[in-house]
Amino acid sequence: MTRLKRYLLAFALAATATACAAKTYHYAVQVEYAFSQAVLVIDDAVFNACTEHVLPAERCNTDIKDAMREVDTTVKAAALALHAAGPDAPLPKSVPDLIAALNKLRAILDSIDGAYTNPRVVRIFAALTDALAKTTNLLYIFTAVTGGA
Amino acid sequence: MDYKDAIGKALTVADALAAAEPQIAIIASAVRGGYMAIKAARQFFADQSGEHDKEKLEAIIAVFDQRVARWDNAHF
Repeated sequence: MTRLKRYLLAFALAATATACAAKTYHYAVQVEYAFSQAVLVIDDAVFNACTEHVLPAERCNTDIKDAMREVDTTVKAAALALHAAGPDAPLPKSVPDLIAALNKLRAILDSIDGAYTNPRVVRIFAALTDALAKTTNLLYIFTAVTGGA
Repeated sequence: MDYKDAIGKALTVADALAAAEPQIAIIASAVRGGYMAIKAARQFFADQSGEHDKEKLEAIIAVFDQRVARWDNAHF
């Protein structure tokens, strides 16, 4: 192979890798956006359920508030990390925190007596399931790019 | 003339005709529907380019800042 051909091949491989990274980044942003919308639905549903005393006030003021802050903060952290990374950088590994935060919120809601008999709370569980599915997609993208969760 | 001008003129003509002849309102509605479909498709493909990725992330960061503050200030 001539030197020119080697340069051309190297250039083609580098260009392909850059294009793939940009596409993966863009896809990750799209999924992060979809995920954040799903979390906003949960945030509103839980906040309204607390305001209207569908959920017990003493739990809303303590562990539910803490869990929702954690969920919101981790979504923001993932967005900040993506924003800082840019299309050409490897994607950060903060997504497992999102799954942990959502599961913590689910466990808290699970522990409330009669949670599954209240249609408002059942809708929150459905929204949580949706958000967890979207987070798993995001985790899959991060894992595929970085080679580890 | 770009597609917006062309469709805008078509809508103006179709609306004027629809006012004179009710059956033409169906055509006006179809033109309007086509315009919305083209607009949505253009937005979709513009979105796929990734040119708004940073803005989207900044919007997410701003919204979740507000949500955290809302929980901080809430007492139920």
